[in-house]
Amino acid sequence: MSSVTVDHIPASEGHVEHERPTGWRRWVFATNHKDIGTMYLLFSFFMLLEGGVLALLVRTELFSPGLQFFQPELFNQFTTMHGLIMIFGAIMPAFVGFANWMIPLQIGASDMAFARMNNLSFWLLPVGATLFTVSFFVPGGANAAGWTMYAPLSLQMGPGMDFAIFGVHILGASSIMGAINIIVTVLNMRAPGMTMMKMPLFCWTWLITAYLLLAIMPVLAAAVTMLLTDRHFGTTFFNAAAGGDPVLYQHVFWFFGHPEVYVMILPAFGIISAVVPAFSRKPLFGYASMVYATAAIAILSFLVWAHHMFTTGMPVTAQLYFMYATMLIAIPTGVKIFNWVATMWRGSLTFETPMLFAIAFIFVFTIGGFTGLIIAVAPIDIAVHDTYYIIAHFHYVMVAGSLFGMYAGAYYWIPKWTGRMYNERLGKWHFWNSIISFNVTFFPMHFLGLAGMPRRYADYAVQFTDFNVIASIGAFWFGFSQLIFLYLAVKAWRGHGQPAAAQSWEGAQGLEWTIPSPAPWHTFETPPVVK
Amino acid sequence: MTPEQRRKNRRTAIILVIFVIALVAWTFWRARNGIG
Repeated sequence: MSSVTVDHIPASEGHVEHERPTGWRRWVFATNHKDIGTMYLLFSFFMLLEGGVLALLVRTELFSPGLQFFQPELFNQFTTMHGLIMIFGAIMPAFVGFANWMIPLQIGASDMAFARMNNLSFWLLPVGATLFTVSFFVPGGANAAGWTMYAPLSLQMGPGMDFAIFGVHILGASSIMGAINIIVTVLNMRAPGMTMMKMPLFCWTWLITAYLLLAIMPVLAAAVTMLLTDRHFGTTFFNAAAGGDPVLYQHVFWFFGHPEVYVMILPAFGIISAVVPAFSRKPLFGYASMVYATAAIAILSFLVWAHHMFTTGMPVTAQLYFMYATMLIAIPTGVKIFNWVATMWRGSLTFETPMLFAIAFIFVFTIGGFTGLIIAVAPIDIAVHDTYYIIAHFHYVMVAGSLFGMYAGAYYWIPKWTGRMYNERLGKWHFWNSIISFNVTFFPMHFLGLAGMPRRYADYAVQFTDFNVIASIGAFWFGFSQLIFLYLAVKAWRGHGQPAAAQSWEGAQGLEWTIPSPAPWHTFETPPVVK
Repeated sequence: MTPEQRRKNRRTAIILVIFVIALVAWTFWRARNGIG
């Protein structure tokens, strides 16, 4: 981003403060982007805990070989719902929360373009989450077909599958509305002088993510609707016995599913692109190339979906195409990694908690990227398909990528959100516990996968015991470490800690740091002029 | 937000909604015809 200077206008000029609603009405009828952002973030953290508890139940069962606590049917419900809840309930809504809070502040807009639709997008989330959660208590239990809900298994399950399908519909509708809101806000509501190439990279990555969402969520909605009509209304899209094709479901699903991975990581790239320059006290290296690399990743993400399907028996030519196309994604991703490192090069670095999480992101996400390259190679993928190597790979991307990116952003912007500095010592405790326990949990899974341990089984052969014990210990360590963040965030939210200055970090750049901390109820009612 | 701004926002959103609906329809159409 080129440096932005502003003719400063008082953030809440002309606003009558008594319009601000109080009590439950403030939240139920919320139209203020900051309140809705806060609700998104709280909701997603709650879902992170729910998905986390399911993960710990999985790791409890896998602590030793044999069946200890849960029958395989229930175990598969845990793994499936862990995935669905983390993806649709935790990661995606969390990034929408960041977008709600920060995009209007970063582009100098007074609010999101469609404030009432914003309210509806949020309040659909608890409905979808409730469907997911109560499905455990219907006859037959929750969806146990994996988060991918592959046919024909998903055609054969009980009503828990219908709950999952409706839940995905509702959460998908919420995502689509959120994406439309973000696109319109970024395209139409930027302050005078805030050209596209002056926008902070977080706005760029979210704009591209929103387009991705619009292009994939309708496809998922159609896919699960076809599952529903196959289940209840006599269609045979995926029923081989009646002329349908189960592999068709996989094609349609992964046309959604692979870009979905980038929906969950591109906003994190935007956050890291804000945090690294701030704590390096340098402008971001290669701003324009970052924008183009993000767009390139988004476009390529639509061309590689069948690398998830190498074992379905596709022709060798198709395998070769999808293998090489997948490897291409390493190029724009490499551009990003290079630019972050180049930003730090000869910078005046300090290592506050946001920067620690950002650097950890670069290291550990890159490991996930490299293992992604390895499994892009079709012959290798066929060997490790559906093993713990895959679990290790995508947790290095989703936890060390998305979640650590979010923590970097949360620590960076908590002073702006709450008006208080968080406890730095506890923040560092949270960081070191998280990064070590994360690796203790997931690194051994690479070995388990290479040795042939399959995913989605409640039991395993005894030779896998040692690494499973280590992974389970790490998982509990990681899970309980997240309570440090909860404590820190609640403390800052309740007004404990040092008051934060408007410019809370010395090297921070952008419009959000020109307004007081905490950000006033209304900001930029008169748009700032960006030079 | 000015009325003109609202109209502009609404126009952009309508284009996006049409795109979403068309994509759902396209997915069903493709699925009806199979992979090939």
